[in-house]
Amino acid sequence: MKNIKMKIARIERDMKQEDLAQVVGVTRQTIGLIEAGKYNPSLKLCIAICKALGKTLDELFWEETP
Amino acid sequence: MRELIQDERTVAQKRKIASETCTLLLLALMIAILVQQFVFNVSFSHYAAEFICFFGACCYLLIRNITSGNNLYSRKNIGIKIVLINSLVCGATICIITGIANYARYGDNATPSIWLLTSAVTFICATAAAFLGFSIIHYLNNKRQKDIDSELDEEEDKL
Repeated sequence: MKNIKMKIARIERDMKQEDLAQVVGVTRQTIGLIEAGKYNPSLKLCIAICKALGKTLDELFWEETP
Repeated sequence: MRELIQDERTVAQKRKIASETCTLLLLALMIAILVQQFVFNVSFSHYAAEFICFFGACCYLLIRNITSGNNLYSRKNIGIKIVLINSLVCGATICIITGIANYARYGDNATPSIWLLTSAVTFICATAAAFLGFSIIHYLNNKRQKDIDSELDEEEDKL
């Protein structure tokens, strides 16, 4: 499932995938794959992304069940 | 205990052990090739299996990493500089190994000038061959990275 919340949070911060990747310390491909829902990040990486985007884990990674 | 998800820690540890085993095996193969070639001085047919396994595994590692999109050069835009450095180091290593082997075999018969000339020719040839090989790898790696970047750009522009 695509992580639209993370993509929106990144755009709100006026950051490109490359910028976020540099802040977090991963490759741009990893950020792209997380946003596309093709890679399951570790908790450590999730926390680093949340800190970089100024969001909580719930706001970015919690999926509401229908 | 319910088995709903895989234990990530044990999976990661098993992968690490497999990776370490692969590294050790490659190292052992390389040592076996060098020892048979330079110490036992046997013909190629004696160590052909090790040679094919070693270079086959190295090629597989390279191709898999490039096709998976892993950047082989940690820094972007590092250019041809790293290729040149790698080639020189590779050329020097081959020159030293063959130089020692040649000295051990023909040290009594060869004059220092011939020995130095042979070493110089070996260094130039090895560096040139390594430069060609590393340039191809560098080109393929860069091409794949550019393809990935353009794919990501397209996806980024979709929203």
